[in-house]
Amino acid sequence: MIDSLIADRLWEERTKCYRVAFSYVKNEQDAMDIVSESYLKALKNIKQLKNDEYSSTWLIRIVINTALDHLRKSKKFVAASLEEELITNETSSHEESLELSHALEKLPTDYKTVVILRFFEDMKLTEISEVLEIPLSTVKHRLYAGLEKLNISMNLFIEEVQ
Amino acid sequence: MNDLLRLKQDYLQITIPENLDQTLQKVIYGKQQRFKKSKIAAGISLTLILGLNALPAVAEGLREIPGLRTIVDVLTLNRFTASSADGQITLDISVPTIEGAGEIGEVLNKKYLSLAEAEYQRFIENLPSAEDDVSWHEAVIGDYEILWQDEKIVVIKNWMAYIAGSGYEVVNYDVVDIEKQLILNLPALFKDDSYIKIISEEVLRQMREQMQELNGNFYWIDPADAPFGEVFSEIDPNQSFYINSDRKLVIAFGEYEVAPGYVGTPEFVIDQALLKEILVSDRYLK
Repeated sequence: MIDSLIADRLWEERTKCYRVAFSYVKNEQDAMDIVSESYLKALKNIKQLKNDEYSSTWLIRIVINTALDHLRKSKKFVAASLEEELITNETSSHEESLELSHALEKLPTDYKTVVILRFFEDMKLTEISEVLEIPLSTVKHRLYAGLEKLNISMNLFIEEVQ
Repeated sequence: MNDLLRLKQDYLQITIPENLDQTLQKVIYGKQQRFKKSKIAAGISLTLILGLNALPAVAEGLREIPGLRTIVDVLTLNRFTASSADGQITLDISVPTIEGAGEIGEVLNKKYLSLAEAEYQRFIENLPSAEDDVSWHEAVIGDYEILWQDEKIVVIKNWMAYIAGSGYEVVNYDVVDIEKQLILNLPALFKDDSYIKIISEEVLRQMREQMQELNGNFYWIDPADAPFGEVFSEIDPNQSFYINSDRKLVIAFGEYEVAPGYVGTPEFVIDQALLKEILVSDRYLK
């Protein structure tokens, strides 16, 4: 049996996990599989979790790794695109946004992950560094480089990234 | 930026499948009820030893000063121990008992004892029941140390360490003026509250300095790096502190208070020159 507090913490993260998974595979069935598999892995290895406070970070890391494994196996990087989502979504069928979403999809996965976690999931740079188990400087580098490739003005972020 | 925000909106509007909750409920909570209470079951033996270990605590600092007459003794009169049947989960708390320090000593003794008792209670209430898998290791260790003492002042450090794989430590300092029967707090040392700004600036300066060093410590002083954007900008008016044997003020932070866990419980020695003007007296800090 696992601690009910940890169980509840993991439970709270479910939509976040789904969105992250979906952003990699772009379809519901695969995203669902990844999330279920990630939770199973997490529960099975719960003893590796040294500190309850890191349960969220730890779970997201498992989701990302599972999603990347999934992509590696299926070799179909980004089958259905975010484009579809945008077209069916009336509130956001802006052309610039479309272009940007294309650009985001074209980013190497490592860079895309950092952009998604920082700007869509509002994670701090240190948290991202913990999630991906990479040095903070690498996180900053990927964020800089990622934004540059997306042609997003860096001035807005410089203060924060320094 | 607007583009990115728009993209974020799209991202947040990713449709969550209806069966997500159902699927994960099964995965996480199984068929069992959502909330299952842990009970202390038969099979787990508990031992509580009280007043058995009347060993005098070794006051290291004291021994180093020859000829100093001991006025105050700190002894381990109470010790709490408990363990699960298989010995995997243990608790061991040595409670300091101050003797010969009058009323103020009794106040502290009560505090130390009630803290240890509360910890012990929490520990036994959270012990897993017999049918649960208890194959993990866990230890709660409580201990104390006399940092230094002289005829007037005793500085006691006591801490509680929670060890399960990695450790987590809670440290508490008491600076006691035996002569005046006072437990010192930070505001009482200064003429007014200008100490907050002066000390905070010095702590920040030392933090930045350490961050510049190769392999130096990391502190949460930049909103982009701190969890939830909460940065250290100012000490609490009642910030944890002690006075070291050089009679210098040391500002202490708890684990995760201002830095990631690996930094531990950071401490900052504040130069006397910075505080000179605002000290009430030179009784404590020299």
